[in-house]
Amino acid sequence: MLNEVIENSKAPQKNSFSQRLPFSIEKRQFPTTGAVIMWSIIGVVLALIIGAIFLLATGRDPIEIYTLTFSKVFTTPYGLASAANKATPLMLGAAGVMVAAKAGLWNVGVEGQFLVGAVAASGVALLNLNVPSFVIILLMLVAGFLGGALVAFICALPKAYLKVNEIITTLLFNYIVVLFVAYLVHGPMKGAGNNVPQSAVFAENSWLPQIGSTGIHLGFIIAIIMVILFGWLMRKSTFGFEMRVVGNNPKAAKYTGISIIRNILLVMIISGGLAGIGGMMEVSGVVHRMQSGIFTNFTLTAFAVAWLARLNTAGVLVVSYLLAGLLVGAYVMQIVGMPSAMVNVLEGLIIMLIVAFDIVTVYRIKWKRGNSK
Amino acid sequence: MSKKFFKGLVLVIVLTMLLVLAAGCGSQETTTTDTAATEAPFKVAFIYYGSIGDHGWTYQHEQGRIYLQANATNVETIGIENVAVGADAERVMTQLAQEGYNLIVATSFDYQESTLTVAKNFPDVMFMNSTGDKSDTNVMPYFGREYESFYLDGVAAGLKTESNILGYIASYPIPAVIQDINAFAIGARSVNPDVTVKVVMVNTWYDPAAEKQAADSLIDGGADVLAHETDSAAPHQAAEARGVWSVGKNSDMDVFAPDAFLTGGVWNWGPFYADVVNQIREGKWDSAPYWGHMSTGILNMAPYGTAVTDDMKTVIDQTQADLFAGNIDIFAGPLKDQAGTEKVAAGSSLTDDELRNINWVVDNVKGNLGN
Repeated sequence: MLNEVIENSKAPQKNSFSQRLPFSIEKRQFPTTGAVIMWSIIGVVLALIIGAIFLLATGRDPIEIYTLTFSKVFTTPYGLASAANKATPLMLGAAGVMVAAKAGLWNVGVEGQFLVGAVAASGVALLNLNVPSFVIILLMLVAGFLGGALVAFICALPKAYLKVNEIITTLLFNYIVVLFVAYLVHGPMKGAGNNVPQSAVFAENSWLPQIGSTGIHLGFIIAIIMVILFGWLMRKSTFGFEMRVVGNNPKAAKYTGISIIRNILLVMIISGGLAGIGGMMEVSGVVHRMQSGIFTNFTLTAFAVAWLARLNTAGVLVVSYLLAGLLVGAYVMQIVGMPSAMVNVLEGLIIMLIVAFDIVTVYRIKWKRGNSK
Repeated sequence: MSKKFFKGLVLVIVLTMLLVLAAGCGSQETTTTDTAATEAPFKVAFIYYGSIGDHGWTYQHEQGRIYLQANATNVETIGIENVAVGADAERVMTQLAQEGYNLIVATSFDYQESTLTVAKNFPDVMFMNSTGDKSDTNVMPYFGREYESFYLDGVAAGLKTESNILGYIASYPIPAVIQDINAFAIGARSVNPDVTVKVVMVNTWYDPAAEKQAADSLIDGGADVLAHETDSAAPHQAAEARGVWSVGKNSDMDVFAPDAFLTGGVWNWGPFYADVVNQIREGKWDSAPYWGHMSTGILNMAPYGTAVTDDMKTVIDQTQADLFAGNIDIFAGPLKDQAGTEKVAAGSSLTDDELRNINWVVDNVKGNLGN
């Protein structure tokens, strides 16, 4: 784990405090994978310890609650399948965030793109087309992608042509989308014969099939393939290279003749499209109808996944599954006797401490040996 | 060298954790063994849409759970808060059923479809769905006739108002809410023919900020008594701050608005839950929809606030007595909708079925339902 150490170029001042310490702190160019994983684990453990203190203080048994929660989520088929289904839209949303971030863009609108993707796919499902199931699902996938892509494209236009900050356009567009979806489920999409703000249940031929008897829907596999595919595209292809140049050094892009406008629009279309497919999978694989509030805090959670994974494809897959497990586990913790408020505290602590320890992975500690220097 | 440092740190953290956990085990071990009774306890789980700190809908159900735990023999109860509608609700109910819970009480209309789905997979587990309207062999929808309390709220508001404009903060245009709006408007009109009710939909059950905004906009529009269908105390606090009055629902909101609060329905689920558990144990359970009148005690009016005069008390008390005695038919014709179309002819009334599917409001209600 000792690679690329940048030596501190500044001449150390005599008798300074830092010089008298038995070690010096140096910055790494890249944090090592080992350090990232280890410090993430330390963050989780520390959060659990703090949680345990709260639990003990209120007369509960932390070890029982923790072990029951862990075993119910990560050792039972139902828990594992639930986490997989919950992870599906999450990894797509996080991949959307990641793709945009590699091109230097903050797509804070994945929630809106997710919702419009879900609405577009629901629109296809509610047509009740008389064609084979796989055709409907394929159409729904396309509709989900286009729905999400359209929203992101609209938000990208001011960025590409007028240099309007995309954080603002994507964030504000979320509110429009949420209200638009509320209008749809209260109005045109509302199921016949009831006064409830939700669509009718889709016909079964538009449900994503289950993988065997696992309880996991096929979207989980499709999502993994798509995340890997787009991650690869961003890393290895010319197309991905251009986008990264635009993100890292727009001037260089300009001088080498890479179109910034075209790349901003394209990357946002892909980013939004991925989130839109996430929406399609949630309605087609899990909810089987359109309604408001199908995934609360989607943007926040997708960002948490993308950044905890250090914008790394494999990381997104792993972290989305673990975080989904945490979200599923949050209810299990309540079932085994942990109050809801404390579950939220613990969730927040875990994420916060992992992010906080991020800083440690960027530095290394070098022990001074005797008076060798 | 840094490796050693990391290893040392990990060791310290792990040791600390073990110590903490060991201390935890030691202190807990004594309490776990003595609960093992001869007979397995009857396990009841409650699923809440909001948090028990809402001092409204969820809070009152939690009071019911506490009552059940204290008054029924050999029961084990649990309340799960903040369960999101849809996939999350379905998963939580499935996990509870797998945990061996005998009765699962889903305390929101929005859980209805999830409840029916999960109930099919667990035929031996009983389910109850609050405010729902679909039953199954093991699913019982239940509710109290909340509109009766809103009729009495309407009487109080109609007597109190000076501007003859009442404000109503509504959640969603579903039948359970529309019944209440209508009963409120009819009750107010019964004592004050000039009164109109302005409705604002907030599209949420619990969002104190949105509820307060809606309350302020209604007060700005001239309303001087507020009613609400949402779960928080924000409308009462807004009324108190602006010097107008309010009627409540769910809980006794007097503490939040000592000057503004008039009265309001307060749920009393505990005895009902205890009855249901007894019926299931005795094998007498019937999953047919339950829709109890106020006279059964499932819903009571909160004690009058200071703004209610003795004259008002006399009228409201008399109205309640007449209602309980069956002398008042709230939805008796003639009733017209907002467009002026006669919906209920003179001499007839709405049936329970018609009430369960009602989607129109009476003609002294102003505002779009958005449905």
